[in-house]
Amino acid sequence: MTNPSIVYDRRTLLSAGLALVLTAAFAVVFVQQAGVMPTVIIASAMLGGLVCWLLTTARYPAHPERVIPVYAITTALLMVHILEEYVWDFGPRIGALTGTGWSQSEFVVLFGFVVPAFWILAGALVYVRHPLGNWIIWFIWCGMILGEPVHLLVFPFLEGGRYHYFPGMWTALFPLVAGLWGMTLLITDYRRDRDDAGQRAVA
Amino acid sequence: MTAHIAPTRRHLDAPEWVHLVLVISTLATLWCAGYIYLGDAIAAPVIVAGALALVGWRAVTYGTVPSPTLFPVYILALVALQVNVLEKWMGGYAAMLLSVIPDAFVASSIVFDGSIFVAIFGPGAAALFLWASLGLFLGHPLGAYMAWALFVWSIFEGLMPVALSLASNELLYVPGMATGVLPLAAGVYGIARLFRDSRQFHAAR
Repeated sequence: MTNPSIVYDRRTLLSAGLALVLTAAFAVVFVQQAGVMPTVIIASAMLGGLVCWLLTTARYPAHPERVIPVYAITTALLMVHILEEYVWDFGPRIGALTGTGWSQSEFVVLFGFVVPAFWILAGALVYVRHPLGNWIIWFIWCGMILGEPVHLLVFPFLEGGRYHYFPGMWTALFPLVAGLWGMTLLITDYRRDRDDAGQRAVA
Repeated sequence: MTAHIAPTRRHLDAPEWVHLVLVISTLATLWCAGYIYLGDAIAAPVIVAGALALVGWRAVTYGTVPSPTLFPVYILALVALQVNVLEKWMGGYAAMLLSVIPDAFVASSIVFDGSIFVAIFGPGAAALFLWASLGLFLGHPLGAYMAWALFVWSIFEGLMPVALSLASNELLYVPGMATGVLPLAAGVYGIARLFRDSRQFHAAR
């Protein structure tokens, strides 16, 4: 007998397929521009987000009225963080570390506009409870946990010398706080929805 | 004798007129800063858009609570705006501004080029409008003003490449023309929705 709790609808499966395609496309472009290490971090957030989403809000979509305020705080703080990275040449500094020569203009196109377009669009998708939006917010919040501490704990050491400023450092941990808050919300709401559905099934 | 104040969490909610004065004060400060550091060519459209948004907010939606259904429209307008700014940046819009209207950038205090343009109108504007989307979703009065500001500014961003082309006297392609219709349409639709939501709010009371 099929367990109904692990059956996904067609729209969810299509969104999962699109998420995999987007992850693969991003990884192929990004590894050439920025190198293996940054690609592993962000692709892990995309895949980790995919797994977390499939295990939780793919079955019971996030509640927009609870999630959107934290989403708005996270993305606003994230764009401030990207602004700091841009102003102090995060892209070229990473390019120098990995030997790929990641340029400022490549950084601006990818992290100033293309990837943020998906992050921003996720707000509207979550509002209409679309599966793809639910994946993207998981991706954003997983990315905060995997990617932001690296600015303080890893990048300054990779350049050698005394512990020093690395672009993005001062604004890295604030979106992390919002990310932890958001993930907690998603998990708490998922558990409640799952238990409610279980009780309805028993009744 | 001191008044007894119970140790409890308190909430601060400013009266409506404080938000109005705050918007006017912010626009005045931006006007001065924009004039000094970026020049009239950049500051004037931003201030005019902000002032028009103020008029629309005061005349149409002031005192109403913005509908959460406006949120996805706001988000789509922001994406459209960012697509347009990307085209402008990649096509060298800032350099074209400097060449078509060089007199607007001669003051020694003005520092403007493509890198300044993308910082302000790319991630900078996105951060500001995303923060404001929180206010819009929560029904804060300033969220309603920022919705007006985003939609009016989207119309300006859509039209400015055409205006610059006309100003050049050569009907050139100006970066931002190809995708200008996206923020323009989103801005017009957003303002129509603000009018409709305001009518519905008053009808429901």
